[in-house]
Amino acid sequence: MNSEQNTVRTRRLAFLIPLAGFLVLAGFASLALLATLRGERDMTQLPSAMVGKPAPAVALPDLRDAGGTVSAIDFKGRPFLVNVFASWCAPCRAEAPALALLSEEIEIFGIAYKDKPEDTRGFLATYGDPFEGIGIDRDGDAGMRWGVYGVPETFLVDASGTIILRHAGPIDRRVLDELLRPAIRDLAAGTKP
Amino acid sequence: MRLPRIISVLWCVAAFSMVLSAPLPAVAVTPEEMLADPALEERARALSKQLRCLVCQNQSIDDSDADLARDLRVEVRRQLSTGSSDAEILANLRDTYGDYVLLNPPVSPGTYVLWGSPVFILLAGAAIIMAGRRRREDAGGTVTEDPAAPLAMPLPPGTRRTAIALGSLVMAVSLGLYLMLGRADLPGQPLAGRGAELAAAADASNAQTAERKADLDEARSAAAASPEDVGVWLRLAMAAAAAGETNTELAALEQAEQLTKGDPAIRAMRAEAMSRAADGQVTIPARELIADILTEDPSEPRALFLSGLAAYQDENFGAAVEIWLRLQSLSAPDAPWMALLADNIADAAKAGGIDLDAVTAARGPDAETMAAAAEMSDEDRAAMIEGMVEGLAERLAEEPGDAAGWQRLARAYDVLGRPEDATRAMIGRADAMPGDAGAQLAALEAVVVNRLEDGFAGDAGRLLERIASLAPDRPETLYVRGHFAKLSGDVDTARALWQALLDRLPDDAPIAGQLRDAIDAL
Repeated sequence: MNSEQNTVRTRRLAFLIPLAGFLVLAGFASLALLATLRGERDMTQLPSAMVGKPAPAVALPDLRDAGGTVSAIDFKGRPFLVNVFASWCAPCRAEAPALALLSEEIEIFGIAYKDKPEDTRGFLATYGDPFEGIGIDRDGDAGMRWGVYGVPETFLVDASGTIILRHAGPIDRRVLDELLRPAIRDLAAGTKP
Repeated sequence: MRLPRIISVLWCVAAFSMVLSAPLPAVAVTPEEMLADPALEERARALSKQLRCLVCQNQSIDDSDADLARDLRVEVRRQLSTGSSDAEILANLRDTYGDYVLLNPPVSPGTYVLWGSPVFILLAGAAIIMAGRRRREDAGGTVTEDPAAPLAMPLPPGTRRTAIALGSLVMAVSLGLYLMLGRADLPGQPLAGRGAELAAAADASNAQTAERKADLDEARSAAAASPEDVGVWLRLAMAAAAAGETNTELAALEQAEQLTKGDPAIRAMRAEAMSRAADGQVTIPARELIADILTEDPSEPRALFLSGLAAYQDENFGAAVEIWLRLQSLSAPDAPWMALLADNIADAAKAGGIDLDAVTAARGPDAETMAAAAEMSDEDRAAMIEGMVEGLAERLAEEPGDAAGWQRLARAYDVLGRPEDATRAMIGRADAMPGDAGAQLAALEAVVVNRLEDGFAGDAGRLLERIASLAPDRPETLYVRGHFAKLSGDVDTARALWQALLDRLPDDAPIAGQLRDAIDAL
C-alpha cells in the first residue's frame, strides 16, 4: 500500500515536470522583459563583431581638404572616437551636444555616411563641428567595413588601433555618462606609464 | 475530452493549409543590382536568403527594401564577381557584422543551448514515456481501485487506439509545420491581411487622424474667415499641433503674435513649437526668442521652462535647477506644469549632483534668486540680446509703425546699458503712435531722465507740440513743457507752466516743495 502511494506521488510529480520547465523559461523571459522595461537592456543593440578587431583603414576623401584623404590610421598612437553620422539623420542632431562635450576629452574622427559634402558642411555649421578630421563616405563603403548598420554609430578605438567599444544609436546622457566616459577614462588610465 | 483534441487537430490542419496557400514572396532585389551571369546571380540570391537584414532583423536581405540590405546585396554580388566562394563571402560578412548576420546560427558554445534544446526535449519526453510504461507494467494494472490515480487507469481499448492515432497525427502535423516554417529563408508574410484586429486598430487610428484633420480644416477656414481674431489663430495652432503639422502651427502662432503686437505668452508658445519640431531640442533660434521674451517679461512661465530646458540640454544643470526653481516659486501651486516641473528639477539635480535642499535653503527671498539667475548667464544673455537687437532695429527702420517693436527695442537697449539708443527707440515709439499722449510723455521722460535734452532738442520739440495739443492739462505735460521752456531760456513760460502745475497739486504733495524751489530758482 505504502509503495503504491509512493508510485502515485512520483507519477503526479512527473506530471509537473513540463510545468516546471515552462515556469523556468517564463522566469528568464520575465527577467529579460523587466530589464528592457527598466532600460538596463537595450533590445536594439546587436552584438558587434568589430569589437577587438583593428579599425578598418579605409582612406576617405577629406571634407576639409579637397583632393586629400583621411583615415583612421591618421589617429593611431592615441585613443580616439569614430562617429559615423549624416546630415539627413535626425538622431545625429540630437547627439551633437554630447559629441561637443566628448571632443574636449578625446579626438573624434567623423565619417559622413552617404551624405553630400555640401549637406555635411551645412550640418556642421548648424549643429557644431566636434571633429578632428572628417572623411566623406559617399556610397557607404567605409560604413560597411566598420560593420555599420545605421547612423549614428560611435566606436572607441585604443592607441594600438583596436576597436574597444561600439555604440549604435545616438549618444544620450546615459550612454555618455555610463558607457563612453568610463571607457575613455579606463583607456586613459591604462595608457599611462 | 475527445472533442477539444479534434479541434486542435483541425486547427493544425487549417494552419498547415494556410501556409501552403501563402502568397509567393515579394523580392526586393532590383534589376540593376542583378549580375549578368545567371549562375552567379542564382548564387547571389541563395546567399542573400541566408543573410539577415540588420536593420529589420527578421527579414533576409533578399526580402528587405532597407538601404543597408541593398548595400549588402550589392556587396555580396561584388565579392561573387571577384571569384569568392559562398563560404568565403559568408565568413567575410560574419567577420564584420557578427554571427547575427547569418539567419542560420552556427553551432558554437553560445548556441549549444539553442541547437541542443529540441534534442533534449525529445529525449526527455521519450524517457518520461518509457518510465511511465515500466511503472504501469510493474504495477500490473492493480491500482485501478485507487481513485486518486486517474493517470494509471487503463483506458478502454477503443479510446486508446483513437488517442494514439490522434497523437501521431498531431506529431506528424507538427513535424510538417516545423519543416515548412522552421526554415531560415522562409519568405516574409506581409502584415496586411493578418486578421480583423489589425484592420480595426488601423481603422480607429485612421478615424482619429481624420477627426484631427477635420478639426484642422475647420480651424483653418475659421482663421481665413476672421483673420483679425487672435483666438481663432490660437485654435488653429492647437489643432495643427494635435495633427502634428508643425509648420501650420508656427505660421498660426506668428499670425497671433502679429495681431497682439508680440504678446510674450504667444511668442513663448512659438518657441515651444520650434523646439517640439526639433525633437525637443531647444534650438538656437528658439533660444534667441526665449531670451527676447525674458528680457521683456522675466516671469513668462513657458519661456522660463524652456530656458531651464535649454540649460539642461547644455548640461548646465545648476542653471537649469535655478531657473526651474524660480518658475516653481512664481507658479500657482495648482498650475498644470507643476508635476512635470518637479520631476525635471529632480532630474537636473540628480544629473548635476546638486543637493536640492541646500539650494532651496540658500535661496532666500525671490528677488535675490532672480538677481543670481540673471547674473549667472549675463555674458551669454548680453550676446544673445545684442544679436536680437540688431535684427529688430533693422526691421524697425523699415517698418517704423510698429510701436510694440520700438518698446521692445527700448527695453533691450536699457538692459544693455545704452540709454541714448533706448531714448531714440522711445521717440520712435512716440512717432509710431502720434495720437497717444502716454507714448509722447514716456519718450519725453526718457529724454529728461537720461539728460539728453541737448542731443534730442528737435525731437523733444516735436513731441512737446503733440502733447500740448493732446493733453494740455495733464500734470506731466505741464512739468515737461516747463522743463524745456527753462532750458531754452524762456523763464516766463516755464514759471507760468510750473505755477499752473503747482496750483493743481494738493499742498501736501511730495513734489510740491521741490517744484516751489524750482520756481523760485528761475
